[in-house]
Amino acid sequence: MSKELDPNPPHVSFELPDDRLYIATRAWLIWLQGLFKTRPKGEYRWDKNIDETEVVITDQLPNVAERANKRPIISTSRGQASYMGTSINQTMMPGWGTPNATYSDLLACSMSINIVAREGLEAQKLAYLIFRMIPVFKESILRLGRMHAIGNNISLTQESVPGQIVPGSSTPEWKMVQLIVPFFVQDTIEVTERDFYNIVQAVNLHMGLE
Amino acid sequence: MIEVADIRIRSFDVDYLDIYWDIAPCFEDLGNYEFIVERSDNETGPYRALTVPMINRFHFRDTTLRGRHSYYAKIYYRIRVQHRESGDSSVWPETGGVKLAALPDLMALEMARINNLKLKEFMGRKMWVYPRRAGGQRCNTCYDRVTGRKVRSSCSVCFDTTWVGGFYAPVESYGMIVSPNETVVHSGFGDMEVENTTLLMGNYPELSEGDLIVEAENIRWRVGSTISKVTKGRALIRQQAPIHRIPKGDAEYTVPLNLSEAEVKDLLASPERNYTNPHNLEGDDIASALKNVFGSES
Repeated sequence: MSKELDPNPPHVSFELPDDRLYIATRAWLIWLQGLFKTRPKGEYRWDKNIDETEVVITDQLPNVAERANKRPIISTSRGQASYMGTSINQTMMPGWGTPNATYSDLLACSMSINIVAREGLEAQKLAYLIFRMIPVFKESILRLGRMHAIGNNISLTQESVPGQIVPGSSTPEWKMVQLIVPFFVQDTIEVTERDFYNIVQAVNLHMGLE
Repeated sequence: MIEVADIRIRSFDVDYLDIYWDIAPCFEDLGNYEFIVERSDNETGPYRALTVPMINRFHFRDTTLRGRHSYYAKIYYRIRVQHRESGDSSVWPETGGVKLAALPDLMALEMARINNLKLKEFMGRKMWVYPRRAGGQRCNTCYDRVTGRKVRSSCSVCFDTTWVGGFYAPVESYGMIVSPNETVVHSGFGDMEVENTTLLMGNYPELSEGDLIVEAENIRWRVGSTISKVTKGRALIRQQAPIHRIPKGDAEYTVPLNLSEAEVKDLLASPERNYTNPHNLEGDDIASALKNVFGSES
């Protein structure tokens, strides 16, 4: 219980847990960028230089306003995350009579990978490439993104209808195909983590509880 | 050389068109001349021969149109006259072609002339219209004949039209583009700059969906799908079309505009007098301005 005696106030020493969803999102993007970085020139080769790249790969709502109108685009968009409730109270007790509980549950989430291109078949081609490569790189993605699993029921949507994305053009020049990939993260908090009791106590005191 | 006059296109059947022509009064033996009917999907060509050389025939029925039921596709004809011995030839009409359309009456011609004058001399600007190809050779690079679709973009062979060459030769014209709102759409996958506006144009060239418009500042537009065409007695007077600004990375920006260096250097999209105060005799180039107003001495 020495951690409880930490002289630093909790708001200074306590570290928030990692945003595992953010880590997972970054892992998906790093993998996608790597996948397209290895493609031959002229075949949707990704380059970190936005002016040189043949395909833009970013998370949703990127801050690249000065580089608008570039296609194809592959963008990720995290879906809703929810606890799966794999246990009654999301708590594991390693042994009777010990206070060292572990709070853990699986988080079910999904990653939408949006592929936007001028032609529908072009978007589909890129989407299918990603679709086929996920099983190949599954272990690598899991390791980098600290994910528990990637679901097998990955779905590839139909093309967006003409004019859905950008109105006004005579030819449908912005078409989108989406890839929806379920994934799972096991997030765990152990009571032995640094400052755990400090922060729990501080919060409880703030709530007027002993 | 004889002269062909009064070429007419007529038909009351969707599967063929009749082409009739007359010969202007002459003293030459018509048996010395051959007539070849030529056809194009674009007024300024290229035209290709539809018939073998014909002698003493002044009518041809084009039966190759079966299944072409588009309201808006245009088919132009012209007659090539060839002297049998010398091989000299000429085409009629001398520029463009004739299509199945109403003949403009005098009032329509005057209305179109005044509108064209207004666009050229006052409110319009010089621009180039590239009619989009809608026939010919399909692109083997990006077009899949089984699905009937393009499989990729930025094609340098067809400029993303699926037809080799992409566009016909540009037609210099005058039109007015209504200033569009500068719109930035913050979409989920990034920002898009979108500009949609309206083009006002005279009666020539006749616009079609997908035509490419190039402004003097190299701003490029694509003609939208709903074109308003004002007619008098079915003859075209003026046009109003929605246009969509083309993203700069698209293949249409690689379509060349072949102007000479001097033409580019001295390019003025509006009449020069619009930039010169006619009351100011101290203007730096009053002679040029006067020439612009009254025309050159020749």
